Amino acid sequence: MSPSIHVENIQFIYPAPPAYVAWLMGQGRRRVEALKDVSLHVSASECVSLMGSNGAGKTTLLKIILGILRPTRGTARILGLSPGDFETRRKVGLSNSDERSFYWRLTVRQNLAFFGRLWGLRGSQLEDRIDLIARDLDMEDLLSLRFGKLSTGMRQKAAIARALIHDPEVLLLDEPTRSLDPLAAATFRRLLKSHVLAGRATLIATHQIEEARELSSRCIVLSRGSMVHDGAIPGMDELEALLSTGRRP
Amino acid sequence: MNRSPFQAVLRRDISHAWSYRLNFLLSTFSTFFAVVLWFFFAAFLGPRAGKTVPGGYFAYVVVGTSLLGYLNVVLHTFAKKIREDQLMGTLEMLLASPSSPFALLTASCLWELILQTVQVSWALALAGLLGVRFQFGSLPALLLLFVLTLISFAAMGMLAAGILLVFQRGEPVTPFVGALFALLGNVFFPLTVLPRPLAFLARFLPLPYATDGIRKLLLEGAGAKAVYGDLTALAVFAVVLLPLSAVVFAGCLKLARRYGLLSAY
Repeated sequence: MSPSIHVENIQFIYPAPPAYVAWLMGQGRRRVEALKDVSLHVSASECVSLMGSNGAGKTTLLKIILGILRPTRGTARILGLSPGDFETRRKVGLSNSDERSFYWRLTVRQNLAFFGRLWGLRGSQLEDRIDLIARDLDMEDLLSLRFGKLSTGMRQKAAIARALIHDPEVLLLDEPTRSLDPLAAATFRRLLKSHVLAGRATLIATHQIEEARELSSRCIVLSRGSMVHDGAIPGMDELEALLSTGRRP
Repeated sequence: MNRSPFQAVLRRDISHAWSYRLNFLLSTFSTFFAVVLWFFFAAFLGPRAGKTVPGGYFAYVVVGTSLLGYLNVVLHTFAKKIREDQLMGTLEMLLASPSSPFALLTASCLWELILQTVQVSWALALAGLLGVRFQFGSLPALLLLFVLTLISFAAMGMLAAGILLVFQRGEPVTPFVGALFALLGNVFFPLTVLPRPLAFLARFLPLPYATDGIRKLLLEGAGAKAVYGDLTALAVFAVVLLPLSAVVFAGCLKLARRYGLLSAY
């Protein structure tokens, strides 16, 4: 069976624009190689952790898998299809780490309904999904609040709810528990485990080794854009060495 | 593909507009003051000014500014919405959805167009009360002219949106284009008062044909035959500009994905 997420030899360079374009854009001309020959796969019913220091390339990799960024070289496939394919996108859920990515004047329910409709949900099916996800994440009382009034942790819950609203087959999660309190984080992890057991493929970027251990059997470590580990969750000493030097101790 | 994000985007925009209720109500009635202003301005100019334009100066300028309003809405809204989504961080989520970027872009304009239509309806109704006699020479021709005008305007709005995606900073082109159209668009005065080179330049813009054609149909009661030339010109603009702007927008989007500019602002 082909993996749900398949990434092969991905390289991503933030290219230096031509001098006149850089001048017009008010930007420098630095060329940054964010990812170097990264390959990975995640199967159905599997949760894989993606670890790495800040700026190691985790978010860039997730954006490439989702089709938001175009890789300089290499290919990414989801369920055997290109990430840009609309049918593929319907089956992918993303919880990004950007807390701004909602409409602040709208309530959480209005936001979730908007994104749910974009993902093809309608009518009572949409309302039922919103209520179900809100119950699962223990955030029913947030639905009627304006997004702009929420705390950082509450916004994070809304981002997780959005990722799950259309019941996706593949989940890409970028530090989903970063701002959650311990209780909310535990609730989320329980829910995620049930999703994985139900056959979902999940790639989760996290900085917490305990979370990686609890959720996944395999871990990928990125260091300065290169993949330096793909295997069992490393111990703390090994992880520190991988993150700082890119090598095992 | 989710082929109709229109409902989702329209509901979002209505909810958003309604969350600023005072602004929503004021903007709906804002044209009232503009129409009254033009009425007294036309009175100040006197009947002599009105003789040189169809329907008198007041009717002439009300129709012209109504169309200019549509141009401004379409020209500005595409870029404005993209800019807002860049700032709010929602642009990446929208482009990760199973909806075509073109459909999303078009849908983002829908609410503003409805609002503009409400405002124009108020303006025309008020102008009618103040003595303007509207005649519907040919309703099908009027609708066709209007649709072709909107397509031509939308194509230019899409070009501006594409440029914004790459250069990030707000609307670099639209204020310039808006001012150019106000000057050369046959909106406030006939093109005959312009120096020849400027009048010649106006031939390459869609707005003069739109204002000319719609005035003929609405104010002179002319039939479809009388606006054949305007219809043809607008059709040419639509056929040339729409594919061109779609290609430019797609190219800019590709560039933004390649350079990682979608979340930049």
